[in-house]
Amino acid sequence: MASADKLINTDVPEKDVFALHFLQSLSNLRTQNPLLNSPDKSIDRVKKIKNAAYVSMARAAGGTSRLWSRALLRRAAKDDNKSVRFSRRKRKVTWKISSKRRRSNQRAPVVEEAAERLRNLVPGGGGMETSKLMEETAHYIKCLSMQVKVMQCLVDGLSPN
Amino acid sequence: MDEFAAKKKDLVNTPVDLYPPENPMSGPSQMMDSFRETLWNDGGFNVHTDADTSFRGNNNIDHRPLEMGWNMAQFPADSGFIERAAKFSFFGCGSFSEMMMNQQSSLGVPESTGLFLQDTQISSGSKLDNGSLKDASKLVKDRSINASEDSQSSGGNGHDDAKCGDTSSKGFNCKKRKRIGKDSETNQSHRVEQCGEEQENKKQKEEQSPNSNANKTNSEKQASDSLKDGYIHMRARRGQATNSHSLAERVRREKISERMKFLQDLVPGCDKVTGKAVMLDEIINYVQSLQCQIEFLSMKLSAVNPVLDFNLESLLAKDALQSSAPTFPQNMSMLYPPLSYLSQTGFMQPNLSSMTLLNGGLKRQEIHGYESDHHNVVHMNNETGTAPDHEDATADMKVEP
Repeated sequence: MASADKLINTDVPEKDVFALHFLQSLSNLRTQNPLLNSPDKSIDRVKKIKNAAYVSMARAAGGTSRLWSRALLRRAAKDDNKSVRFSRRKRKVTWKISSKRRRSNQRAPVVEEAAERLRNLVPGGGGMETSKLMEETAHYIKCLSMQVKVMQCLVDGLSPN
Repeated sequence: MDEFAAKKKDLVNTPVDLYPPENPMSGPSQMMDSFRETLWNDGGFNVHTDADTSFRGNNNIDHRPLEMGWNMAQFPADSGFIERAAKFSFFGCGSFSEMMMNQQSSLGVPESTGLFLQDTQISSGSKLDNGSLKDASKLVKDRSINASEDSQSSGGNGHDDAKCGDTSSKGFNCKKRKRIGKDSETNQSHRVEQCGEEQENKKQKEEQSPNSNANKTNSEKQASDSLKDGYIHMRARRGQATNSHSLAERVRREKISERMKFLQDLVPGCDKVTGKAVMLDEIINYVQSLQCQIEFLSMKLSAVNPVLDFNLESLLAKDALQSSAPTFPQNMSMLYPPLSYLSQTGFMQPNLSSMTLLNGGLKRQEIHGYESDHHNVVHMNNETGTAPDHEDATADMKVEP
């Protein structure tokens, strides 16, 4: 699935990559808690599955080559007391750091408000300039929709009908 | 170029001590003539464009400023001279002829602005292919913008000088005013220094300001428009502020709107929506809804199969993913026999085989995994009665359409 826009690269892998990663993470869940087949609190399980979904999505979507995926992985690794290894990536795009952003709050308050809300939604959005944020949002949306499709298929496949 | 300018400044300043200004300047023109000759005699700075590129990488040319400096030591130090000398540091910015024209014009030889610009544009147009054209382009750009600016400005050099003083302190804001007076030249020398340190596309060289564009014509504006295509940098458009901040703002705005258009294609149902605010709200809502969907689906997943017998689950999932439900029962029966076997072989080896089946279709893909176990799997399929292809690697995953 090649993106038509050559300037902004938001290519996202196929569904199978997402599915693979998701199933891998689910199996990790299984192996982590072999005896806890049915934990008492289903909420925990839901959370775990949800986490697994996000983390697997981040990995499938290109690992550490995207800002939001990096932030997601870092956040998840922090919870697990692990550390994320970032491979060296070539800096094709540079973005302004957040300190500059503070200064420039006079810019189109409409856009900035929305950007602020978006930053709360998109992981890792806090340190991004608005234009970079838009790029990341586009890629994030693509990955989210892919993940939703995968999970939908899973649920359909597993539901006892 | 900036280091060269800096070097030149240093060298120009040193003679101040050696040669006290005993001679009043007979006139800048005479000095410049002799100075010019010195330049030529030195073998000249290579003012051709190909030398521009070579200059930057060529260490040999670094000696030239030294020669120049010693030659310049012969001249009495003068603020005007310093400014002139500093101006010559911009030989790299364009052709030498351009500089000569600069000098001539500032020396009081009046030139109609239209002619002046045309000449420079012709000379710079020929250099458009060169990689180090930034300076040249800026030169021409500056002149044309200066022209357009000046056409709007009222006369009065005093007013202009005050303005220039402000701008020089700010750096290179693009409020250009043409100045003919000499008192502006010291300001220019400062700006000339700073020029080398500027960023590329936002600043304009103040070197243009001393050019006396007495007559502003509309042809300059047209010329500036026509040259737009050759440049990479942002230019001030006609009738818009040329403040460096507003230029940067405009670049940023365009970036953002470009990305918003991209997002518009991505988010379903946003074709009719116009306007940034509504569009952004839609995007935010969409992201939120996607995240909610994921949460909901994960809840469903956890509810659907409370006993996470994962191998079975994954196999079923694999199957479900490959076929969207209708042939599901058949595949179930087909898959159960190899199920236990596959679970032993370590199902979760990263193999693309099964995952390729997820591509929504029923097409067969090559399985690259299970090399050692392949025949066993096929053998198991034989038991179930499916017709395996021994050559076809996807035998065990065949789906009847």
